[in-house]
Amino acid sequence: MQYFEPNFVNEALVVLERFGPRAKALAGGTRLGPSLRGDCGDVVALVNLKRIASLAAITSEHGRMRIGALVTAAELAHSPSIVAAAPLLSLAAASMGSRQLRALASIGGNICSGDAASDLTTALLACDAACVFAALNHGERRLALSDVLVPGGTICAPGELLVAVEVPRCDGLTAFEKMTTRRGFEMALVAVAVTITMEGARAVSVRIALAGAGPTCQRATNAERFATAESPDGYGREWGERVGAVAAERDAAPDSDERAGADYRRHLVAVLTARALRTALGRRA
Amino acid sequence: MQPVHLCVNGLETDVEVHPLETLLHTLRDRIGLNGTKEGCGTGYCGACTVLVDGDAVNACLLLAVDADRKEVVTIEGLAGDAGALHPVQAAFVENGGLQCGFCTPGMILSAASLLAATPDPSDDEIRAGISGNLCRCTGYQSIVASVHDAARRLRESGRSGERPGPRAHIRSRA
Repeated sequence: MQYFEPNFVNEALVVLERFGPRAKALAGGTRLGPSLRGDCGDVVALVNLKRIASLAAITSEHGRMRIGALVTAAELAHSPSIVAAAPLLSLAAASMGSRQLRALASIGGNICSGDAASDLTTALLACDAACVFAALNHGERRLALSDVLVPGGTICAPGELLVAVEVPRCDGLTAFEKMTTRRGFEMALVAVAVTITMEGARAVSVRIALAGAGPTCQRATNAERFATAESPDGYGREWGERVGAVAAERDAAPDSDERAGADYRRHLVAVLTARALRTALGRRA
Repeated sequence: MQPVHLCVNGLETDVEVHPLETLLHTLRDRIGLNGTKEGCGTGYCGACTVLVDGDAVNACLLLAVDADRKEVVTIEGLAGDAGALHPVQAAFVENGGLQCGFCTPGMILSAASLLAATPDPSDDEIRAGISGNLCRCTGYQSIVASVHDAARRLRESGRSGERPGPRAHIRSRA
């Protein structure tokens, strides 16, 4: 295996272009390292991104934050700019695994490893985040995160690199709820992230994102439409429970695995969605 | 093979490693520091916890190439001169915070790193701080008591907030 430590994004792109699908970009390494040890399969080139300073930066422009792909979960949890502008992202990052893991795991790796139970990806979906991909000679392209995810990964093409995630200011009514059996060791069974935008007494926008409820992290679009169309009790408990029921019945498509059955995951979607909506609305001044 | 310059427990060391070699492997098999344990090898059990530039990390996940020009503290680097136990080590001994001892190096480094940032932690903060370290024999009650006692010892000796391990000047990677 050939090993590269580029100093600039363009240097990394040259290597990724040259080796195509047989090159792997290394960010935090919490997934890629263990998966390559023992059997590297077709991988012949490893591109370690850690020396590329621009990938580790958090910047802000025109009300949008640009979070470099190497920014770690620990930084997302504690960075004052993230805590202020996207507290939902900080909450989700702080809930991930152990301290030891959060110090290493990166936002880019979290998205690209395509885990259907990713806390960060779920929070980013609810924040309406976009992914910025770079490719040699093609500049950058921006895609909504919801259009990027496919089961087990992203649509990132060979030769392309996820360089940053852009997040609009998202400091309104938000909440993150998650069920796990062992904090510190296991991914979420189900996690739900919500953001609500109110105009006066009316919810004009409700975004609901689910983890562990299908083959990828996903927006619960049916529940979102229902949530903005119906409010029989002024966004009270009944509303939250009905929205949760729609998410469980019409958006979630969970599988059973060794950690939880599909029926239990569906139940969790209903309960955690209702709880997240209640928590978010509880933040109204 | 890649050249890597490490500062381990205050001593600067040059090693050559395979790009996918973990820091755990480098510490145990190249440098001969066997205090850092390998449990699961996948980042769940925390037996391999070491401090890198002050942060607790899983040495079984961190590649040695990513520790280049960084300061690493293992359990061997925690005790003071002439083998005097670090207050966290002394507290674990006196409070029975261990049984078989396999998780203990990682548990103590997690605790030391927690106490450097949070000198007077609550029960919940301690449990969250060691949630990445599995103990399979003694249970967590005596470990939590040990961390409380360690916090008290650090405060009383005026060492609250002190970064654990020997200091060494090492150039940061430009």
